[in-house]
Amino acid sequence: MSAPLYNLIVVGERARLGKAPIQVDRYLENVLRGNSTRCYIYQLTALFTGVFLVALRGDPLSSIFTNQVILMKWILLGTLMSMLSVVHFNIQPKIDELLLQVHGESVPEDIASKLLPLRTLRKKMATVCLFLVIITIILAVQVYTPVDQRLTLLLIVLAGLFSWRAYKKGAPRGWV
Amino acid sequence: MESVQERCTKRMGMNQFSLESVMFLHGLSATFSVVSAVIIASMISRGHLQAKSLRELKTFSILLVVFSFATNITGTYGYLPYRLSSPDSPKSLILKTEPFAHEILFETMEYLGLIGPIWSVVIAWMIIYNGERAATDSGLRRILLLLTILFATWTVAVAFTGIVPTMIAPVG
Repeated sequence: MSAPLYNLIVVGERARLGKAPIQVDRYLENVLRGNSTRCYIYQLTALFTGVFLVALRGDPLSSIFTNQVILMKWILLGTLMSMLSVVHFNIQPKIDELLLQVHGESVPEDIASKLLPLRTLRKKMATVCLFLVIITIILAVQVYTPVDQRLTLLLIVLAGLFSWRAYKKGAPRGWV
Repeated sequence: MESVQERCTKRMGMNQFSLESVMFLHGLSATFSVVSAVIIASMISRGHLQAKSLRELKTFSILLVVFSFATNITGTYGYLPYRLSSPDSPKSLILKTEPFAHEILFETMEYLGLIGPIWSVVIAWMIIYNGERAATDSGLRRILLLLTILFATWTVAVAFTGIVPTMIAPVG
């Protein structure tokens, strides 16, 4: 959960900085590019430890596909991996190529105008990613003891509001 | 006297754990097929590729073939105990309770699922044979993008037709 949240915070801080030397952008992109690889490792770890937990409990592995909550988590993880792949293999290389074209001390207007839609799309995808990760956590705590559906729905709405706030303002006061 | 299922599993060297594991791999490889297809589509739609990216693209196209074949091979392994004529086989249980899940969904998966490996080989062959042109030639790129996106959508749809019967009476 922390990876998309802190990516949103860092990107929000960069936007607040306004026009800055190219080194700031290169530093930011290095951090974000590195996070993709970390995220793949976290996602695969979550997948295999989750399977291990099912086996450890003595449940058949088929319960991954017959238990609705685990199945939903499986689908969400697949969606997260796919979204991360779009960012890592499509959006990020395009941003990197644009930044490679910069030779001066700051980003020229024409390149900045091409960078903006790519960065906005990446930020929106990180917001959806954060939302899906929080839903996964909400589901994770009720795999074997489900809570009231209305409470789950309320938590999902709160997750949506938190993700939206992180997108807009970078969650300056955490949950508040 | 041994049941048909016991005889079948004994003859094929299956035990409950191996069957469960193989069916888990079935779901895992189907999921990774979709992720591989998304990665390939993301790379192709970039428009141009450097040497390193091209190598990655070829690797992912081979992985797509591997996952696609793995999905079908593991599915075939589970297919035999699924279709046993004994009254406790998943097929018999589904026909007793929710015949729609077998007659429409499973039967659809059974036939449509066969296209997957062929489809993935076509995608991989087009990428490996054409090399960088796969990303730079706009006509070829459009066809490959369409093939890959349709493959991912088709895999999700076929996975759905497999998940519903599994939720009613799993094989593993």
